[in-house]
Amino acid sequence: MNFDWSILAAHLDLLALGALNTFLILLLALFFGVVIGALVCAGNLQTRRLLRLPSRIYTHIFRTVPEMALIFWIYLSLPLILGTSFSAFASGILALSLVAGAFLGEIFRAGIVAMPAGQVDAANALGLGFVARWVKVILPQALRTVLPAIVNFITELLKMTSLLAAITVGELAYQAYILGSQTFKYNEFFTSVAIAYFVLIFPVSLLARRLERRGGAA
Amino acid sequence: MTQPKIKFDRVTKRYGPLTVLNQICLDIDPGELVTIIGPSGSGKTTVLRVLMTLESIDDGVIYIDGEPFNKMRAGGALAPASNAHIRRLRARIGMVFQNFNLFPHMSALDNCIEAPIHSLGLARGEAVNRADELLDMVGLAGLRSRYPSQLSGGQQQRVAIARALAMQPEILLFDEPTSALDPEMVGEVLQVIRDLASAHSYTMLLVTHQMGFAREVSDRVCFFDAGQFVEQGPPQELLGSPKNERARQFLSKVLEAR
Repeated sequence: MNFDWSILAAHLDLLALGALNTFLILLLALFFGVVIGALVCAGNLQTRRLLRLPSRIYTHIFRTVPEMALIFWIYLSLPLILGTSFSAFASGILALSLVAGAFLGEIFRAGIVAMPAGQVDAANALGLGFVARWVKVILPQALRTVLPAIVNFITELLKMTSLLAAITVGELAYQAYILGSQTFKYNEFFTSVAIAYFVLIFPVSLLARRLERRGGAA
Repeated sequence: MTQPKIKFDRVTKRYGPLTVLNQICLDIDPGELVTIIGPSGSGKTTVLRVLMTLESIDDGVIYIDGEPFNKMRAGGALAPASNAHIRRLRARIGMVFQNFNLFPHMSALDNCIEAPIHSLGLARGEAVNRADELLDMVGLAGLRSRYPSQLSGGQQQRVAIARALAMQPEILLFDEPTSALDPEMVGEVLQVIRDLASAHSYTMLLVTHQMGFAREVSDRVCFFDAGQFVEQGPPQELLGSPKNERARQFLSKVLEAR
């Protein structure tokens, strides 16, 4: 079995474009995911059951529907309901953002719930107002607790971006598929793309492990 | 007759069907150190928590310097207090917790300047100067940049006392301040409280199981049981020869165990 290095070199521009798109998708989905997650988390922390309900429903739906089904549904079915269609790229970002919002919302909630009640007592006893209480006391501690979980989720999200190949979003896996089909050099392209994902994700994964260990020691 | 610094007027607190404070009444004079003793789970801590506004109360009125605290005067009647009203009076009260509750992500110094900057609006430099003085006073001048996890329990509790004092309160609440400490660290914390009681004019309310310490520093000891102040008096009297049967039983158990 020959491994044709030259074919990779010849199409490096498209592969690089794919990697860039993957990175862009990750950043956008993460950004919207954090915003949605914060809202979902705020809803989930309400003491009244009725106020919690929308967040509960949201979380259940987007954590249980398989990402692939959701991606196809948003790209192919949602336009039928709305009467307008979005680009594959926008549909993909929307799908991943919705999923990220559900997972990140639960992660944020875990961090806040895990904080000892005495911390809020102390903040109240010291007269810290709503903003200072959250910015100075609750969020720094909650984020520190869940940072490993967040970093872990980022690696999951990075892997999820490859699913967007199914709806022709030009990210890394899609480029490998297209280049492979044009040149019949599937092996070269998918092997190198698989390695590229590993090289991207492995350091982040190691970082999560380190953060977990550090968190356990503190 | 002087105005009581703190006055509980028939204060009631319920958790569901459980009445934790049952129409309690208590007057505390300015500068007085009152110790509350009683069985675990009797609601002693709740007395402090409602005073610190960490818990709401269901009935009755708490007065600070003669001003209704959980209510406010509106015309001739008492109306529910506004947040601003509660915040203004609450600033006169500081609290020290059983589990210290220091902010673990802040150094000892930062623990002591965060609230003065945000709540009192002090400039950072001034807050730092005052925090340093207070840390010095509790014997921790050299440890200002340590984080709580790098401090012993006794040191943490002394930082917590400095943090409470940094807010310039007139009233200090101590909720079993030595219960979470290893025995060898109890003394250093009690010494700080002793110094505060003798050298300053704070009005202090102390919940403790340290009967010897209560006898030594208290102006008055109150025995609390089943949601009420059952008996109160000078420490020698109450701790020496309590009249109430439950107080007598409690004290004989506690003193036996020592």
